Amino acid sequence: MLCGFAGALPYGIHEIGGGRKLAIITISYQPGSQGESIGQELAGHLGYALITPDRVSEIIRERYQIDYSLRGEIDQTPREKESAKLFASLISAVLTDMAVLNHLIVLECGGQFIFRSFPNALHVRIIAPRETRAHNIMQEIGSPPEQALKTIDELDRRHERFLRTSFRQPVNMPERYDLSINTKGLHVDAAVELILSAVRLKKIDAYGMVSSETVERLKLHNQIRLQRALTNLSLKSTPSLSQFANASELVFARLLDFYGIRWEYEPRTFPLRYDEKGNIIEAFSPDFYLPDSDLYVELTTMKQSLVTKKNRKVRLLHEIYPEIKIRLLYQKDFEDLIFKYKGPKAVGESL
Amino acid sequence: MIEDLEKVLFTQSEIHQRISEVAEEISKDYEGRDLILVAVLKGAVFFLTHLAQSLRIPARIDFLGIESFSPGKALPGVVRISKDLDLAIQGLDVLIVEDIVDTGLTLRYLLNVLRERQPRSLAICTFLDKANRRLVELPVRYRCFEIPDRFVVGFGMDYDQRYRTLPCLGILKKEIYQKS
Repeated sequence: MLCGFAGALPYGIHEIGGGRKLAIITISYQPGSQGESIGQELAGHLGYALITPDRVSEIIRERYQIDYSLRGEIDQTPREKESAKLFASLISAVLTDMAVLNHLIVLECGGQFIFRSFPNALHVRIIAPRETRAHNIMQEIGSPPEQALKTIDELDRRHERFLRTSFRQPVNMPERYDLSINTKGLHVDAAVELILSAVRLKKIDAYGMVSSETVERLKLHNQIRLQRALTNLSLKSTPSLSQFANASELVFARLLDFYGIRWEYEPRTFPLRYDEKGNIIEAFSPDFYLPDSDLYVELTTMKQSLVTKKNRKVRLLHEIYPEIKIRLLYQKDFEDLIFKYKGPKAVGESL
Repeated sequence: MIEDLEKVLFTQSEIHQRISEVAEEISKDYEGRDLILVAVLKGAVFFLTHLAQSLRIPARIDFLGIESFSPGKALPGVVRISKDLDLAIQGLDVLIVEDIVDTGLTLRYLLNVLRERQPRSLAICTFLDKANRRLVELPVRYRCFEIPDRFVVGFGMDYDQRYRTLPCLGILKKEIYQKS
């Protein structure tokens, strides 16, 4: 699904009237390969908004009061799994919001993963031999050759870790990129010219038409992902919320509160299978019980393996306890609930 | 557009026939009473139009708009009224007209809001009912069709603002809404 990291857009991109033209160029570059200069010059040529790691960090700080740096000190990237997922969601939220408002050039930030299924995106990788990059670093910061090489190696490691931890993706997958440019012996202007040719050939600015409703769905999907990530963090840090196993459950409990529906959390466990000695070897504790409807509710995520597992448990429960009413609630149900009544004014909301 | 349907669930004539039957039930039940049809924008408009034309009794019509909102860091999924009724409903027999009822959460909210205005009675009439998705009990007194938990379009139901004008109701092919 969208936003992310996982790739495909949840709802098709359509070329219809009344939509928006959106074009995205992502530039991933090795440290010292002049990727930043190329991005800046390209933005000047095309008039696209240039999104740098610094800008994304700044927005994350302003919007969410979370201080993660995306540049240089990439070693601040959280190592812990949940925090890394949150970090990736924040970056994705910021970039996707920007992408529905402007033509973009995204420098680094995992843009090649976030926008990998956008038909209107061009993914560029800038590389150069280690020695060339060290030479560029030497010129840039004036460090001695050996120190420059060490710096290059360290930055490469950090960059690799950033992508692996936050997006669970390796950087060196050539098939991810539409265009790879080796800047050894190639001036910045020449690299920019190559990218401009690719933009013309791929026609990303001509065909990147996205309907207003698709834009809304992208933003909504993003909002849900982000909310889930933020809620997961508050679950961990707030003992009173720790009864819930995950953010979806907390979201659902709050929804029920809003709608004035009484609920109990995991009030009963149903044995499903026993071994030959009569010991319970499989049981099922539905997430919620709604006493007014005499109904149990089990929440599911987008992960198909979990959905299949839960479907099986619900089927077993039906067979063994036919008098028990239970519903599986899918993530899509939340999204439908929100999107059905999303007001038109939300279209075009800015950051 | 019809070629994007995996299956036609109900044809135009079946839909009109069924709406006429429901309209007849309503006409009998509300005869001599002060009926007001309250449609929830925008999806219910197609259904409301056909339903109202098929009634044998007089009825007033009003519209209610609702939208989801997430102020600040509030969790998504809650709604509020974005366009209130123009008419006062105190003492009237209110029939909420919806295009589809599934979890019932939103309608539950609407019922609570409208009940406070002290109508004489409050009930629900829905074009489609996904009863197997229901989470809360609702006074759904009239339903045209109960449908499976599939993505349906046509007769006012849309996907990405398309298919709304299809005269029939059908299941949309998965590849239409899952294509990347």
